[in-house]
Amino acid sequence: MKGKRIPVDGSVNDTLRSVLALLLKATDAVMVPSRIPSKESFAYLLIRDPKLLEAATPLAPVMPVQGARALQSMGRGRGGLPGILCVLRPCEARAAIELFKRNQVDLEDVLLLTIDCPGAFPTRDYLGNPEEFDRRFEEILQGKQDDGLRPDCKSCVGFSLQEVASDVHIGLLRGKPGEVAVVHRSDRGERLLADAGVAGDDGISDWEAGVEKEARVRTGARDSAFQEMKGRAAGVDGFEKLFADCVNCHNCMRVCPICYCRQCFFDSGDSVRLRAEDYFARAQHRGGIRFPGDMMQFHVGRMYHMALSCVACGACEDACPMDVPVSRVFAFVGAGVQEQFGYAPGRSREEAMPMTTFKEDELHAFEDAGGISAPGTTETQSGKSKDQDSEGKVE
Amino acid sequence: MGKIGLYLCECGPNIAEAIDLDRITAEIKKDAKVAGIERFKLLCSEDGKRFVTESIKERGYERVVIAACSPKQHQATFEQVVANAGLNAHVFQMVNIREQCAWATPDKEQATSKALRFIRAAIGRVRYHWPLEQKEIECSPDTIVIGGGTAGIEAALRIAQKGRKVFLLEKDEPGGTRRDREWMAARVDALRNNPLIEVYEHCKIRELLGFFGSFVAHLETREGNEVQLKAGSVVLATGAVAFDPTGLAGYGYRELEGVSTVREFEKAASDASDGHPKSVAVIHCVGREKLGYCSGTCCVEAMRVARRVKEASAETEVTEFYRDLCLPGTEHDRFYHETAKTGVRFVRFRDIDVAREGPGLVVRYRQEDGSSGSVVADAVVLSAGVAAGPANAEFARMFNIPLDEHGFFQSEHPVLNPVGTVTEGVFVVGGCRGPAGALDATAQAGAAAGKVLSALVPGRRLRLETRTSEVAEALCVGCGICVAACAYGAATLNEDRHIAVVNEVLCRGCGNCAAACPSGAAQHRQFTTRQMDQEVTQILR
Repeated sequence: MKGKRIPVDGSVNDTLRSVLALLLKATDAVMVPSRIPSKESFAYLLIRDPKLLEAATPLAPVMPVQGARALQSMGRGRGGLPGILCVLRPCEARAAIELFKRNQVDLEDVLLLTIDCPGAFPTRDYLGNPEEFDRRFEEILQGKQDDGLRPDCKSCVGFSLQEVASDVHIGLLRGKPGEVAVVHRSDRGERLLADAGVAGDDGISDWEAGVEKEARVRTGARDSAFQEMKGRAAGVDGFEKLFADCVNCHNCMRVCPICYCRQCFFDSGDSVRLRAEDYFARAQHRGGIRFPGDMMQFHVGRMYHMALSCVACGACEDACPMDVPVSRVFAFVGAGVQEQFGYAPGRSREEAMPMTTFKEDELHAFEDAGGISAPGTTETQSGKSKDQDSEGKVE
Repeated sequence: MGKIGLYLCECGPNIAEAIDLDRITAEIKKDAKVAGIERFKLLCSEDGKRFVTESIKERGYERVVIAACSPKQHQATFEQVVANAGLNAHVFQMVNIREQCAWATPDKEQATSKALRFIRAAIGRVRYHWPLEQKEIECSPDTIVIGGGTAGIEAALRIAQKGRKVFLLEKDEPGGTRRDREWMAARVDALRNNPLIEVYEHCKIRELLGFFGSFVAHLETREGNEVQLKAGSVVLATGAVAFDPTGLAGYGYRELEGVSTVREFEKAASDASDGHPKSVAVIHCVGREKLGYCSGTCCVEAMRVARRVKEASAETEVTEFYRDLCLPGTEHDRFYHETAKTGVRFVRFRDIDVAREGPGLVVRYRQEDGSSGSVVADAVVLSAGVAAGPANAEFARMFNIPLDEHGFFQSEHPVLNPVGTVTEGVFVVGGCRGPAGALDATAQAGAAAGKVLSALVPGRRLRLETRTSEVAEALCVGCGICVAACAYGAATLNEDRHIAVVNEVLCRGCGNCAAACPSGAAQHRQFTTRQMDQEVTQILR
């Protein structure tokens, strides 16, 4: 792979801003995370005036808004409007492509620019002491490790250009002062870089090697995170424990880029409520039931809808007021389901969603194996529920 | 929710002896959700039907549950009974306590408990049933027949015979693969001279839109003009092609002079005027293994070659090499015996090889018992099977009908609807739905003609499926997943409004869209969330 190497001048974000300024000349607008006037958080701005790029923070220490959501909120079918370059973390770009496949965002004249993602801090942590976290984030950009990043970021294996169909990517060669490497990943991206004068033919194998090395470390972290989750999420009991603190605020659904329903079924009031007599019947049968009664249904229903497209961006967990490890559960289940269908969300604009295709031979291996089960948990699980059944009858 | 009436059918001893109907009556009474429970010996009898109609009226039931046999058997019967009582046919739910309980569960206690759960589920859901409107559309009585071969011509003539307009579209000229048969010329003449049949030769079909009762075909004529034809039904009779034995080892096709296919041989024989061959070998089952099926029509074709050769010159030796003879029915068997009487030799082989030696061809063969032999021949005729036409895939996409694993059009059901397809109003006849002899092709064409004539009577309005899906506009985000999930082309995206819409005429009510929709926007009118929730809750309670 070849690209354009640019030495870091000032901070990494300063350098990225100057690259964006060049790119803005070759496109009509740039959509980029920017520091909002209160200076304590970040939002997406659609910028046409190069002067406004001063506030742009292509790599922000937090991710209060998932970029795909921001892009989606521009609406669909812009048809005829000018081209936009949208700056996204790789996970955000993957989500944008998943939304594109569902007709929820029009990427016809949008170019996706991804950047090697250093991760993000939990938004609540950041808001507690912005200056401190800004300083720590600068150190991360220079290559320092920081254990305060969000759990999903620490075990993210898609932090660079792995399995993401972006048009342009910027790699980070961290250090003091470090370098950035700009590469095109599509024909449109190539044209943009050429028009903006950012095309280059420099060797970047040192960056590629660095990404590979980092990926190995992250894969290890992810494997152990999944292993831990496998134990915690096993069976209905495990699941209930994980979500025990949930207060049904549905924040996770509201920030999730893949949750694109106009109105969530679980927010639609009466449609999910049973009649009192039915609740009584259930309570009578099971000895007692939890209220509100649709908490687990909500999470399982949401998981069923989005597992194939979950990009493990962590937005849900970041928005959870109760510290439910919601993103870690979803990422774990999502990875398993995606593997079953050989599907990778955001990998390509053309790859059809498994839900919309029928392959006669799909899932056979899965069926033969008797379904998904965390190793060593199936037996104890069924044994346990049998015991409970017989106890129930004795009562 | 209305007063619910529950009817229990004893089905003679079928249900009464296998299920404790007294216990069911007592338990349902305890639930206090129904206004009345009636029991009858045989509800589907005339007495039974009258009893239900009368008692619904008398007691003023507004919802009806009938626990009896499979809805496959009597759903329509009881819908009519409910309608006769002045109710909408859809405020009724049938419960299958015969096939699924009485006959399937030998233990009476268990069968009763199961039946009780099913009945409670039906009572739970019927509370949320609402009247569904029976809609009708005006149909076009005309028919488009695609393909002018044996089947297509037969279908067109039969339909036109009843005074109905037919458009026959043909990519070439009418006649099909049997254009050399003596009877075909008369059929083509009859087709061309029929004032009710418009024949479009050398045309290409660009697109087919619409639905049963109202199709529109866009075609391009030989002159390059675009023509639009409207019709209520379509008969696909695009035929099949002969398997091409090129490259098949052991036969020497296209490598050895004197080796030809049946069609090539017949054409050469009719063109040639000089002398007769001394010896002809006809090899059956060419390509049988590669095709993966017996075409069932080629044995007779192969014997017809022998008969023609013998008719032209009785001295010519003819050997028919076969692996298996496929001679279904009395006609074909008679043909075989008559052929054998003319002196044609039949040899069963396991392996066969054709080679040129000196002036002639030698066919070497080995038989099942291991013995082998050879025959010297002037000509070797390969009788190959029938393969699916190359254009089938394009038609399948256009008409939204599936192909089988061999590339032939799939009928809706091999026995129950052998010439119908999953796209209502589109019929498949002749070689395009699988290898077919002239006899089969003609019979299938007649069947399709009958279906067309009975379904599309001029002036008649079409009754549409009532249990269809609908999309709640307020909930739909236009993601298009339902469009991909719909097998009938009924769900489409309205690009302007960015929502999905269901065409009520095309919808068959399979519910795929409702299952696939993440937003709960697509819903089946008779499987609403609430109805299903009640049903499942009661079954699991």
